[in-house]
Amino acid sequence: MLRTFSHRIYPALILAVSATAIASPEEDRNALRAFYEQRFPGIELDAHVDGAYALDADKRDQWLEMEDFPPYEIAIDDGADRYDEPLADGSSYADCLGNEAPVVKQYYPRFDPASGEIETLEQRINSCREAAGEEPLDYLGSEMSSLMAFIAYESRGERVAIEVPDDPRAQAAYEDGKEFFYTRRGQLNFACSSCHVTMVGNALRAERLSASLGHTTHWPVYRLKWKEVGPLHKRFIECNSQVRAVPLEAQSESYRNLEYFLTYMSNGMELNGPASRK
Amino acid sequence: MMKTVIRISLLLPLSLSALAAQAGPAETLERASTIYEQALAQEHGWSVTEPLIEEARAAMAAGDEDRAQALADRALLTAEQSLKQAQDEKDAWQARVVGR
Amino acid sequence: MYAQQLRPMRTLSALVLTLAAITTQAAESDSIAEGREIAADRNRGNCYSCHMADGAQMTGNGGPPLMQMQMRFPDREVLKAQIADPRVRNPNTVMPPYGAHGILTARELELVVDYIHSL
Repeated sequence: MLRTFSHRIYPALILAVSATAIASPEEDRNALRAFYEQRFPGIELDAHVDGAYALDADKRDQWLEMEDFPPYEIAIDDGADRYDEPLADGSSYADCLGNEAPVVKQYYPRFDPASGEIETLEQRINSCREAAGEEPLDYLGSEMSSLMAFIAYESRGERVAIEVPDDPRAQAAYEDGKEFFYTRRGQLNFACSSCHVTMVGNALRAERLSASLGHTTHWPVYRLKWKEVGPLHKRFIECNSQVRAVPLEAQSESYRNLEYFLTYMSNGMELNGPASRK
Repeated sequence: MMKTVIRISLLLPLSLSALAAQAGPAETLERASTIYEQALAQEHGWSVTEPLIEEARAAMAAGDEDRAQALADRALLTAEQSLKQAQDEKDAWQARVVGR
Repeated sequence: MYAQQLRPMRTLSALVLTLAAITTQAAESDSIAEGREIAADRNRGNCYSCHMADGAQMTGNGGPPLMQMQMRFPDREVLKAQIADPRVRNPNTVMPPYGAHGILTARELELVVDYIHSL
C-alpha cells in the first residue's frame, strides 16, 4: 500500500523538484507578482511602476506636484531634436530602430543572437550611430539620456514585452541577472533583494523601499539627488556603492543581465518614463 | 563602564601585536592587495578596501608604523571578507529566490 | 588624639573616593556619548536607518526599536555578538555584520555596544 503510494508520488515529486530547479522566467515572474500581491494587499500590482510613491500617499502627493512641472521635459525636447537630426551617412535613428520607431522601448533589453548577449536600447542606439559613421555616445552622458528620454516618452503607455527565447545563451543571461539580483554584495552585505524583497515597504531612514516590479518601466529618471536625467545603470552603480561594493561599469555584461531579469519581471506593465524621483 | 575602557585598552594592543608579529604593514598590504584583486575579478570587491590600503601606505610613508599596521589589518580583513562573500554567495543566493 | 590624627586621613580617602566616583561617571557618559555619535553616523553605525531609538531623528523601521535593551540582552556580550555578526543567530538577517566585516573597529564596536545597552 505504502509502496504503491510512493511509486505514484515519486515521479510527481521528481517532476516538481526539477521544475523548481529550472524555474522558467514566467514562473519567476508569477512568483514575484504573487509575493508583492500578498505583501501589499491594498495595492494594484500595476501601481508599482511609480516605485515608493505607490506605497505612501503623502509622498505621492509631493511627487505629483513635482511632476506638474516635469524636470525631465528639457531632456525630452533635446532628445527629440537629436533624434530628428540626420546621422553622418544621411540615415536616421528611425531607419535603424525599425518600423515602430521611436516606440520601441517595450522590446528592450533583448537577446541578440549575433553576439549571444543581451542588447540594451542604449547599446542599440550606439550601434545605429556607429553603423552610420558616428561616434558612440557616453552611456552616462546627457546626450544619450536625452535620446532615451525622448524614446521613453514616445513609448509611454506601451506594455513591457520582452522575451527570453529558447536559446541557452539567452537563458544563461537571464539566470545570471537573477543571480545578481539575489546575491549579497559589499561590506554592508546587501543583495538587491535585501531591500526590495525582504525589507520592501519598510522605511530606510525616511525613504520607503520600493517593489522590484516596475523598477525598469520609468527610466531614464530625473533624480533630484543627481540634478539631471540619468540612466538605470547609473542607479545600479549608486545602489552598489551605497552597500559599499565596487560598482561595475554602466552597460557591463552583469548590469545588462540584471536589467534583462528585472525587465522580464515587469513584463506586461505599462511604460511610464521618463519620470522624476527624489 | 570602566570595564569597557579596560577591555578596549586590552584588546587593541593584543590584536595589533598578534598580527604585527606575523608581518609588517608592507607585507600585510601586499596580501590585502592580492586578495582584493581576486575579489574584484569576481565582481565582488568592496569599495572600502582600496582607500584603506592607500591610507595605510600614506601612514607608512609618514613613518607611523603603528597606524600603518592598524590600517593594513583593516584592509586585509575587508579584502578577505569580500572574497569569502564571493565564494559563499555562489550558492547562498539561490535560497533567497522568491517562489523557490 | 588618635582620632585627631586619623581625621585628615579619613577626609583624604573620602575625597579620593568622591573623585574616583566622579571620574567613573564621566567615563561612563563619555563612552555612551561617543557610542551614540558612532551609532548615528551614516558612515559608521547608521543604526537609525533601520532602528528607532529614544532621541533619534529620521529613523527607519526595518529592524526592531532599540529599547529595553538590558531586559532583552541581560548579558552585554550577547548583544555585542549580535551586533558583531547577526548572521550567527539568523542567517537570513539583512543587518550588516558590523564586526565580522570590519564596518566598525574593535574600539567603535565596544562603544556602540555601551550606548545601545544603555537604551
